[in-house]
Amino acid sequence: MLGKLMSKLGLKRQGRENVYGYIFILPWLIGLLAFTLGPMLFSFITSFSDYNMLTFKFNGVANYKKMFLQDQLFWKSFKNTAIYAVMNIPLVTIGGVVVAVILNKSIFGLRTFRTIYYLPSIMVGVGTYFLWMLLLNPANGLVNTALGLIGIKGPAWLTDPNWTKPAIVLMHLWGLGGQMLLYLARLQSIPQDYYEAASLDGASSFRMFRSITVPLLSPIIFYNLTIGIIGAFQVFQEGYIFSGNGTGNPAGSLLFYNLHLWNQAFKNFKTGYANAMCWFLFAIVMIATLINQKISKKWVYEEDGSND
Amino acid sequence: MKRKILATLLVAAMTVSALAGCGSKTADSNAPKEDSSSEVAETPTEDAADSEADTAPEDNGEVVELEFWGWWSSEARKPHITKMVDDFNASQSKYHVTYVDIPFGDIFTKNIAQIAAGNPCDIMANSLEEVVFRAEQGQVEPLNDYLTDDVTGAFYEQYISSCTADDGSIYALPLSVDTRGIYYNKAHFAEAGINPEDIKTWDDLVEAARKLDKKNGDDWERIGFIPVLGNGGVDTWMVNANQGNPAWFDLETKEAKVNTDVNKEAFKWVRDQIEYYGQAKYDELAAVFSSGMQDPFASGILSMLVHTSAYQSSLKQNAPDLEYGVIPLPEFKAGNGHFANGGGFVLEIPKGAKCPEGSYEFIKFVTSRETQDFLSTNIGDFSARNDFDDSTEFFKNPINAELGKCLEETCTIVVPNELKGYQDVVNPLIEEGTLGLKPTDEALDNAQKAMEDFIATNQ
Repeated sequence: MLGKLMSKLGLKRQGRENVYGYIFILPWLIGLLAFTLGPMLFSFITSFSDYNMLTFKFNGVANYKKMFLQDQLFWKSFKNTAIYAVMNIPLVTIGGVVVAVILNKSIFGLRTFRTIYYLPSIMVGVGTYFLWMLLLNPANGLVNTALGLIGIKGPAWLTDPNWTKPAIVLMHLWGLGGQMLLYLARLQSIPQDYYEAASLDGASSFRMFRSITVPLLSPIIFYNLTIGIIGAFQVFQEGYIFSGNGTGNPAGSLLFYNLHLWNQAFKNFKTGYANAMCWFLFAIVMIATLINQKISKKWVYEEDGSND
Repeated sequence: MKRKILATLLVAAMTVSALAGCGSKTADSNAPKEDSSSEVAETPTEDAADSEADTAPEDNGEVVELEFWGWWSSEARKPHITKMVDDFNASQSKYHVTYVDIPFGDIFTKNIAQIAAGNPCDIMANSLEEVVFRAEQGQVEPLNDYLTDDVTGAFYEQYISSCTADDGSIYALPLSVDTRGIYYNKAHFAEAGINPEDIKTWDDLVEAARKLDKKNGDDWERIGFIPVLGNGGVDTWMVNANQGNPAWFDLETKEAKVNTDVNKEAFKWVRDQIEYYGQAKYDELAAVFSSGMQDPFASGILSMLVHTSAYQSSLKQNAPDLEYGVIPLPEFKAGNGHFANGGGFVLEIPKGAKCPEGSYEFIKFVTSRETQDFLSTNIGDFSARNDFDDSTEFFKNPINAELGKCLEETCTIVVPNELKGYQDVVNPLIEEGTLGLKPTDEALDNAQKAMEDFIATNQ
């Protein structure tokens, strides 16, 4: 019957397929409009206002002005997040590649190791943070005990402000299994012929890694890097839970951008201001991703006929 | 052909009505909520709300359904809260209250979201320290239309004033309050020959701590006292030194007063106590407390610990055989006063609640002497009522009686709305001094400067 209606409207086959297509994606479209674009638009509008979730008063660009010039914690929280991102992204990326390459060799107990490395990725939530609080205990935690065995006196990870961010990076290194899996999948699809040919030419294994493995992995590295940048700027839980009370303790070293934003929105009820912070974060992440995209042309290897 | 057109039209009509149905669901403020609490929320709430809009509930004899939001979900607390609610329901026939427990981490954001959506709960438990702030933000209904002098007069004045906003209206009634004292290990005290009553000043406290300390080679086997462990931060000691006044600002002029001479002396004392045992020892103990897995006081590693009245229940669980007592915080200088800072919880009516009279009836019932005694005895919280004395069941417990003494000199620091959020700026700088990253005087000077800037930019 819908078909008849469409033929009455003079729709040809192509047009009909389009109509069917739209009907099928309608639930998603409604969801996008109601739960994503709608709230985004709302947050954009309220970022130009003094809004506390109950009252609303336009104040022009006052929130943005306050953000850049007056808020004593804005740049601090931004710096904390940026430092964390700069430490975390390269380490997790390199770590993921290295572990994947090792686990791609045929060694005894390979499957078990793969499972062990992947396991942390499925263990999420607050429980793992508490687990890490125990592991990082300066006196009898597992990490410092292990360091003690090789003669290093471990730091007070979560109470010394200089060590809190490395502690979080360490925790994330433990959870690099998710990235590793993607690298591993890609590694399995690299034809062995390349390596054979290279070894016949007398290439060392490092040379093969540099000239075959890395270029062929580069699209996945690029993908993980993009996701990693976005994720690093969204760091929140670590600061919220490790500081115990959401203040970013010790000495504000865990006051990440999103934690500061959350405090403004839900503790101080400066929701309009928090929305302005959201949009600044959006801009930063967007710029970082665009730069990443631009540079990627130089180092990401793309097989003929794949994209573009 | 006609039939097919008819069928098409029908399908279209059904689609539209289905969509409209979805739309009205979100628009209708009386629709059941999507969150987990909807399981508990009974459907009569909607009916009651609808009928209430038409005619007053008392006119047609219908029972008004009310929702009471709190976060008490543990076996130790929830049954008593439920019993209290049941008692209220049995005590009258106009209202029926349902208790909804929502995790502490979610309840406040849910509350504000429901207020913004125009469909709040009817009675909300919330923090005492921020009643004034919430009132200013327009999140709560004033109680003045219902309050009578005998009700307000039954609470200690300081708690009622914490519930009174700048406009002079009272926006909440205190549900429970807490205080801080020093918990001490009786066996350790007996062994070291210390009489707890002799600890009057900060100097006495240090003297006692030295007697309690035990060293085994380079490591501390037993720690007498570290002031900032447990539930006593730097603030607790600063409020004590400032005789119960806010430590970092002046309540009258609302100006920064961080680096005063009193603060400099008191803060240095706090840092000295940490340094005495070494930063590494402090880091270790602080990490143990924050992971929440062990309790060094319960296991006898710490001889004294600052904590709130709620600590009793934790000790009951972790160390049921531990013999302990409580002394008030000592005086900074003799004659200064044993002041402690404390907070509490209130019951309030969220803005836009459908039946404030009913909500108030429930709040009045919960804050009555009888119910407060029931709650205190079973849950262990202190009441803010001034007629809550030795004759109550609660104070027959000696620890409660000792904590009751601390409560007499407990102050609730309510941050003026103009200064809201200053802690975010000041506390990290203070902590640099606490952790020994900066000399204490320098940390206070930095915090003074930051606080002045904060006040200047927030006016």
